[in-house]
Amino acid sequence: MECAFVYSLCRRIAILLVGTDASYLKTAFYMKTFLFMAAALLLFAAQPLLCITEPAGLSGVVLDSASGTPLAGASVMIQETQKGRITKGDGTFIFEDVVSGTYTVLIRYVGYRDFKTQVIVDHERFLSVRLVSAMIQTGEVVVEKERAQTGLSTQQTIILTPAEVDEHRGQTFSELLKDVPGVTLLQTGPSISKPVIRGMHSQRILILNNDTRLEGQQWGQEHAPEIDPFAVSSVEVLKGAASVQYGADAIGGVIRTEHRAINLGGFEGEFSANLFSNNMQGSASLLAESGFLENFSWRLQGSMRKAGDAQTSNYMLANTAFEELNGLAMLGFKNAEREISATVSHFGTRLGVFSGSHIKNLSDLERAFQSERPLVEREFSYQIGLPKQDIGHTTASLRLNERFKNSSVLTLNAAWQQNRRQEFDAHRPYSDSLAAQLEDRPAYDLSLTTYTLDGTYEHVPFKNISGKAGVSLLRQGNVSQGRSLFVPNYRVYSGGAFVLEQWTQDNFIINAGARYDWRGLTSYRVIDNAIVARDHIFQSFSGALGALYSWAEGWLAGVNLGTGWRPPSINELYANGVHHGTASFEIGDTELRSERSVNLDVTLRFTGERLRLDISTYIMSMPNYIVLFPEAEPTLTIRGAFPTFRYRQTEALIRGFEAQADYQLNHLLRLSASTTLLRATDITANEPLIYMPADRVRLASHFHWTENDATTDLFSEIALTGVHRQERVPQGVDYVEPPPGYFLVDVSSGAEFDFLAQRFKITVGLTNLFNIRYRDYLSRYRYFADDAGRNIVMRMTVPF
Amino acid sequence: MRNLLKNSFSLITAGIFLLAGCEDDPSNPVKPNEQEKITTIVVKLNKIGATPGDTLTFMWNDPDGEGGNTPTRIDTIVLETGASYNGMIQVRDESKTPAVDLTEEIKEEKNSHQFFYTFLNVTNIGITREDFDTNTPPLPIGLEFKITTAGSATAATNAALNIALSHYDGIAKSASRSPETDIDITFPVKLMP
Repeated sequence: MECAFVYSLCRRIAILLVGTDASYLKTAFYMKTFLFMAAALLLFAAQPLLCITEPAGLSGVVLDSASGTPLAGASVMIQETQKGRITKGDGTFIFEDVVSGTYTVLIRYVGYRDFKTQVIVDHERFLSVRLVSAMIQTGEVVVEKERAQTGLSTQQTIILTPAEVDEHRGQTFSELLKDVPGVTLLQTGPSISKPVIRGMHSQRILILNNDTRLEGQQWGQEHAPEIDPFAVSSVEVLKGAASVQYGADAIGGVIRTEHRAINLGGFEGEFSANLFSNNMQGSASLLAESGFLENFSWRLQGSMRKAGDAQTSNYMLANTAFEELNGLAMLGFKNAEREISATVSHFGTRLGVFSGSHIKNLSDLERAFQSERPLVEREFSYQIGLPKQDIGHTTASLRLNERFKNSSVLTLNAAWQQNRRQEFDAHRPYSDSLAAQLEDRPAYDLSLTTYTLDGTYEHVPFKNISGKAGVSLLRQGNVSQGRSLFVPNYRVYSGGAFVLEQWTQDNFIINAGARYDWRGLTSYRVIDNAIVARDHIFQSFSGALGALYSWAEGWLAGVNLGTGWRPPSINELYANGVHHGTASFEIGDTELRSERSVNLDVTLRFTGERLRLDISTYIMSMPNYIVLFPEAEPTLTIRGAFPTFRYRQTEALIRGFEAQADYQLNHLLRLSASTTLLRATDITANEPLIYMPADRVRLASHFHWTENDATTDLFSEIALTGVHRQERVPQGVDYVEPPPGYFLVDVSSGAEFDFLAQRFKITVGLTNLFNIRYRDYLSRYRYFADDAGRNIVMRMTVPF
Repeated sequence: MRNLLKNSFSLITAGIFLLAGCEDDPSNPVKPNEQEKITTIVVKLNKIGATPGDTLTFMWNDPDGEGGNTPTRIDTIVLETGASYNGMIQVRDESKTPAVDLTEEIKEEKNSHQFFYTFLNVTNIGITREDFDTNTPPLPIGLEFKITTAGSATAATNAALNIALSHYDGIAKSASRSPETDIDITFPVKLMP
């Protein structure tokens, strides 16, 4: 940020004049600064006198607003004189001999929003302009804060700004994303939500939490991302394979969360509270941060959450209470050249799993399907009984961002994380005395430790070519300690290296990238009382080629062709046991090969004064898609017959279409409409792919009651979401038919105002306003119970 | 002061990686000990009025428990038409050496266990449980039972006997099945005239 830059510049001058002794520095610094500023003011005031006969000129530099990277090849035009310049490799431009006066400068660059400004040229004038990428769609026109490098992407990228995050924060992290076109939620009750991008989820989506890969047992459909919604400042969703930059697991997309930027100013803080009526939930977060010693900064943040049983429109969902306790501490250093931050954070949650869902066997399952109400019901309670999950996730990370004098940038991120997941089964031992002995031993107890090191270097732009290269390393170990074994112990080493280059010319951008990945997995199992180790090696090349073209103001078209890959995860290789959440017996296949995908994305975007349009269509071909396939015979166990599923590979084809339109009718009203369509087919079986999200439509009106520059802000929003019945399902595979389609209405209203010299931001909303009874096809509870009923949500943020 | 802070900074970051040294070793897996496995059910029938000592034994056996191999032995229960039998059931864990008989333990916890016997695709056949627990009023346990086949009893080719053990853990025992099923197995059934 410029402020910090100037600040440090002044400090440097002061040090030069005064020396480095701290205390002397302080007083001397202020004195000198004052004199310095007084001198500057005098000179500035004298300018007009000095300037009449001096030749004036206009020069400047054009940068990317997100990363600060200079943009070469941008066109800069002074409209009044119709004179134009093209920025050089370092982003700079010069107009010599400009007659003093007021001019309108228009700066255009393909892939960015046009920039127009008024400039008074009466002496040598230097203009520093930051252009906002047009490929990034935000709810607000101007991106507020500086963000870490995203890279100009020819793929669909959606960003949720801090304001949008505050307004949409839900019970879990993934709920933030539910209204993004192309994104749906895979839910196991309200406490467990996983994001689904274009039908892909779990180990097919990479989640980067503060630039560190989130490594938990994400292969599990009931294992939600371990991220505190309150610690997230902004979120970026990249749809489609991003394997070149991010490696394995980014075959379906990438979700990047960012924490707040380093704050070098004085003490600042924020208190937030969210209340939800449906499960009587209260949650609160407190954040404090401050700069010190000019370049240092610290931040402390803690949050907690407590919820009781959730309610559908007709009944209570027994044992769906949950609680959470999270904390974060950060120490940072920032100056003109570099930014270093060390963060330690912990996410801890305990949550109950709906009692009616842990079904013992097929006959119990069939009884559950016939029943109008869940087989188990109880009064509302905050008590978390069995079955339950207990998760603790600790992360320690160190990040360095270094900007060299030639304006190349190096980013390094080193992290350690430990994920401890315990799952307590409802199935107690047949004998009560034995049960008492084994009371606290979980059925599954998995401890996953991961070390990651990621480095990226953006080289100096050479003519019209800019780009970056990177290396990623990972080491991971999984230890299983519970009563039962679903996945074995294992050790993974993996490494990857990539190059991504971009060439800009007039209205064209072309980018290309390539990557190589290697992964070695060793599993350790006890077979006949001996330890058996088995190695698996997976490797892959990935590549991407993309282009962006802007043929008229406001219009942008993009095409991206890329490959992605994903090695099979531990459960796909080694599962062997009953998956209680689905009453099925799952069997892995150790011979599975890596998944590969070839994707074609086409995007069209229009940004006008009132209308914004964003359309994308894509096709993904995956010849080795790993899917759970039903076996003809159930597995007989002492506890009954379980339908059996085996992991195998098939050829899959996924096609989709997403569109969003926003129309600003007048300063008061903005209308939006969006739709997400998806068609996924198992080519080998000639059937639709199972568990794919249904088509949906969302219509919303947003009323902005106050003027744009008022200090108070008041808005209201009403949204209608329609989800079609999922009719594209394979025959005879699922236990029950997909549930019918449904409509939900959500309303919300919010205000930002000052009260007693304190800023408040409050939103109040109702989701599922009419308490509609429905079941979503991607809800894991849909066999047993309805989805949640009406929910009154209140969010309050108090910055101080 | 600045030096102190600079040093603390490096110390903290070094500390992060030091504390990060704690990690269990995956190369030494521990075999999970399923202490409460049931692997074997033995049904013993004595025809009423026949020569004493003629006990019919039928076994359902899955020695390695859930997963692994399929059950190794599921006998077909053969019954005469127009006969009555006294029956008893044994529950064992044969994955351990020596095998563990769990029947006594279930008997001791009779107030939280109940066996359910259901004939499928067989006509004119009845089964009653003979033993009761100490609830008020008493509810059946099902470790001892009586089977009566009429002369006209017939069995289809898919005739079977389903035996289920309900565990009433933390809930009151009732006449119907609990959500907690410890045993749910099926023996094929054949009738002989």
